[in-house]
Amino acid sequence: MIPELGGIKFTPDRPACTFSIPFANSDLRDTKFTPGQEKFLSETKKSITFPIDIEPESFEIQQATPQRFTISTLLDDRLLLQMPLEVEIERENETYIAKCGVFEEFGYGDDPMTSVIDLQQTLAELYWTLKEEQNRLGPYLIKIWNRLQEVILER
Amino acid sequence: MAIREEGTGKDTLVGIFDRVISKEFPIDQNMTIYFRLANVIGHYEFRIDYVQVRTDKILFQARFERDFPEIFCEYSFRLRPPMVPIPEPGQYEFRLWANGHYVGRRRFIAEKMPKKGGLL
Repeated sequence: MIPELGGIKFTPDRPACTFSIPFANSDLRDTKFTPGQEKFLSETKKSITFPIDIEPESFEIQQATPQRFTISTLLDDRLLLQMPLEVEIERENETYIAKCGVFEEFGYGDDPMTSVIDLQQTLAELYWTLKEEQNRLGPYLIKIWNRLQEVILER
Repeated sequence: MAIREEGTGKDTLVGIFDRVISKEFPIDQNMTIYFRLANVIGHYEFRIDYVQVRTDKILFQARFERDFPEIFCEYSFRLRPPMVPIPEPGQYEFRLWANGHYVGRRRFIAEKMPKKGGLL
């Protein structure tokens, strides 16, 4: 499965003690559920918190954005990626371009990850547009639409 | 700061920010990183890169692994890195990778506090 990010925040804090309580709902972990209860749980969802303390370590400064990598989300809460999509980052003058070769789509931005966000939004828009127009698509776009359905799942 | 209520296990985030203002740079900032994941099952290797956007350099990196036995869960993470360096005013971001796949980022801006006394 490909994880999706529910939310990421950072807050100023004191470097104090270590958290030590690993599971928030450990009393539910060994419980057997009926299909109806499973459905209820899938809709309400339990929540488990992992506390992690990072130890300082020496680190060699390196380039942050690889030229090629894979993305696991489309930033559209209605859509899930069933498999990672490969993205290639290029730079033209001051603009970064994120390219998804499978769908021949591009995202643009002032920095690498902003171009990736633009690409993620572009792919989501492409999905919804082709879905709406699926009965009027030509052969090329039908091919793209079929490929999109293999990769993207609606919630 | 992430505060956890023992009875319910719910987390409360206090002092969320997206901007750091300082009289001088470089500085080191204490912070907690909090994020939630859904749709995960099995074993995952995570990496968080702390990146200076202007230079696209990793200033700090954290790696950790976790097993997720249940898919009908949302998993929260609280990370306490050591002092987070902010070498100069500008944009910085945390990038989350899972099993080598990019998941998402959050960015904050570091600004120099303007001098008092108004315009010359």
